[in-house]
Amino acid sequence: MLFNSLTFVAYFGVLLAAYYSLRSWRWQKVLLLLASYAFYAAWNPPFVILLWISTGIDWFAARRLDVEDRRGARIALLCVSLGANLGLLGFFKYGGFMLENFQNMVGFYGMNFEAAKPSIILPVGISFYTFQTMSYTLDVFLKRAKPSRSFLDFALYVTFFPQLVAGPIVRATHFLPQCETPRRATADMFRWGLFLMTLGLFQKIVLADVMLAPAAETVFEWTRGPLATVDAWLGVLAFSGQIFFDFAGYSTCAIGAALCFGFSLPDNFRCPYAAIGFSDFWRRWHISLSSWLRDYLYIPLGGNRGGRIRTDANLMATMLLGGLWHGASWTFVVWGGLHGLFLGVERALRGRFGGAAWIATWPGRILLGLITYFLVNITWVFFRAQDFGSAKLLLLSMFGVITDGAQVLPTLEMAKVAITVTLLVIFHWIHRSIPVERAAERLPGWAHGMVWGGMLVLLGLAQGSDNAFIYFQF
Amino acid sequence: MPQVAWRTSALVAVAVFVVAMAAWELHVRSRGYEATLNDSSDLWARARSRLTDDPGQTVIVGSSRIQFDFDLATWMKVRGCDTPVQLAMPGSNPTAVLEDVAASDFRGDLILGATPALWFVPQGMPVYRSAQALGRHENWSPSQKTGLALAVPLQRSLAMINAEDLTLAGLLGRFELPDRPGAAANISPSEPPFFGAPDGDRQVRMWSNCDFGTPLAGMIQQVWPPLFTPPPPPPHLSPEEFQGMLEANGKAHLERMAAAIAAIRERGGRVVWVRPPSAGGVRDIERATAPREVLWDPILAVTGAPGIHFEDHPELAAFDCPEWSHLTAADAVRFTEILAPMLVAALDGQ
Repeated sequence: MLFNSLTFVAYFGVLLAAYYSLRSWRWQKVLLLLASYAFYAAWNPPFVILLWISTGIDWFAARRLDVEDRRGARIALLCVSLGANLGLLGFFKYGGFMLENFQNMVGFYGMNFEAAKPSIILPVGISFYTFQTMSYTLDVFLKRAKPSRSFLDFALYVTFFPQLVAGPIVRATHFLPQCETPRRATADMFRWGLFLMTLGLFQKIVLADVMLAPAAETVFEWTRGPLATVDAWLGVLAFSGQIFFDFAGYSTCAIGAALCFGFSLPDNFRCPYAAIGFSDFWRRWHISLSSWLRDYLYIPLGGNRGGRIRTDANLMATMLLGGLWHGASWTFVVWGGLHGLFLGVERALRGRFGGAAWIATWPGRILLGLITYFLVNITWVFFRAQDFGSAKLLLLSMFGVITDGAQVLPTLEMAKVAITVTLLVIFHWIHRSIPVERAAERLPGWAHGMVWGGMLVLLGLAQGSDNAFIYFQF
Repeated sequence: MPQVAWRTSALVAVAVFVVAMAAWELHVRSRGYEATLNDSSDLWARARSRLTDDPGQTVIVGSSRIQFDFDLATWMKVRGCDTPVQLAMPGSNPTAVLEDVAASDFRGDLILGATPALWFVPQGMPVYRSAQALGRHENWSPSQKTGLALAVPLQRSLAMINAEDLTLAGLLGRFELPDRPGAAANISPSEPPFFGAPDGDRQVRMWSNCDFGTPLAGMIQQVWPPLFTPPPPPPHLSPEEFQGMLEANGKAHLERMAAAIAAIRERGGRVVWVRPPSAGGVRDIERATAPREVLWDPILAVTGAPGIHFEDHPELAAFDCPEWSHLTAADAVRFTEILAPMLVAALDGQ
């Protein structure tokens, strides 16, 4: 079920009414769990079984881990959990990719191996909930957390519908304590939740789908040769805005929806296009994934404890796998590799020039921020391009190496991108130092309401669409 | 949570939304818009699911002309049958839909609407539209089915819900900013605005605002020529190479149509082609770029199915199209009354 669908509006209304009509906290949680399964089944009912598998195995593994002292047995239990979750992910998400690469590899050695192309449907959100359940078992294994005492609470943690299919990737230590006491949104909390849902839908439907998607799709789906430099750049900038509004919009909706039931979810974005450097970027972009990768991959690999080269290698390995998490394609791996490279270069430059006075000045910070945004856009080319050939052609077009590329964007789309992306970057810079919440407090209630109403009107005019969120495919 | 006067804020937001939407609804109604359904992929998927439930029905495949011009109620009266399954789609290449029908258990009567050039479009939006609708049918989720059930009463109540004209994207598109001279050849021509309303069975009836001599009809007459004019050869191909590609594409499409129709007829299904009328500038372009001896005649010859071309029957050729490509709602009824006995004869003769 999409947040931007009439079905969700009806579902959400009925669920809220039912939730607040129940007195028993236990039955409220049962209701949320069943409703979350229904939310997931609304796409493809049989895939609920995958949720049950993931839930059951991690519940069992964590319980056993808590009472098991033998190192070998503990590792075996962890392997069961990781094997099951990564196995699901590997089969459904990477099966075709692995087969294709195997075929290429044996072909490279002169052998002919042709397997039937597997017809595997990717279950929505599988990358998110498998990472979420793995974090739980890993926390118990590393003795950072105790296992849940309630299967109901744990199943709700895995399945809670606002964050189930596209995050934020919630840690058990954040969610499970909330299940211990009844959650009830206050009137203001409820209104804040609805406001966040409006804001999230506005980001997705109006800004991502209406303002930016047409230009991004035109440029990235152009298959008839190189593009004019201005068209290539506007297409990439459009995608940079589209993916932010699409994904941040989903997270904002999720946080708002959870709030309406009295639950809090962690922030996932903090003005990432005002980041100064790549380490700053990853503290602001998809925070729940970057912190997951840091805690369960980068630090266990050794983090920054093994000298410069080892740290760079750890960073690169983490970002390559982070890239692969996004999709079963080498273009995503290169996207991650570029981020790893830029993080390594940034570390080196910081060691050498980190103390320079100009870096702390506003012009210096803005210059570094714009360089970061520029490089982030280069990485988006690989993230969005269908293949390396298209990415190469687009980059050559962007940098004017090819000068007779096609002009493909209507003037109206160019204007929409220029205005929306400029405002986006300015907004991020303003709210880099002043959080949006604090800025909202400066507005009188009626002015805040006008902004809220304005977003609702534009959503009403947009009439919604059935465009899925980009991150559903990851 | 920010400390905001939330109660005031929420009340103002609701007031702004309700007042603005009510004003917008009144405004669009004052301009002649009425509450109609959107001809969405979900509506198409619902129609397609009827074919799965009963494979012996009358099915219509084609593009917008057969959707506007063929009146389902008149056919039901003549034939004494259930509502036909209307699978025609505006601006689409219907070849993939025909193949989908052929791959099903269908064994009823199939009426194929021919806007001949569209059946041969190799790529782009006409192909995408069919693929999108078929994809929706194949992966139609419970959520999407529920969404349609909820959307229909809303669309039947509010004129402002109009996916062709009154969306935010459509409204922004009314800013007519001139495109760069070099971009014109790469930008898809504009689609026509809203001029026909579908009902629940996907019967489209021309909007009264688009009657003969209306500004809307005149405006749509200007929209068609770029859409109906074939593109020039791309720079990297010589005219001969391009012509060769077109011929190969035409042959491939004809073979696909013939194979699909043969499969349907083998199961006991009956198939007939119909070429609905066009007029004015559109007819001139069709005569120049898609003459019947190049497209229509080979379609009949290769597929072996009978066909009814409006030009062959003076009573059908007498119909005129206000915007050069589709009949008015009233004319569609009269057209179908005349066409129906011809169709019955063609089908029963198989």
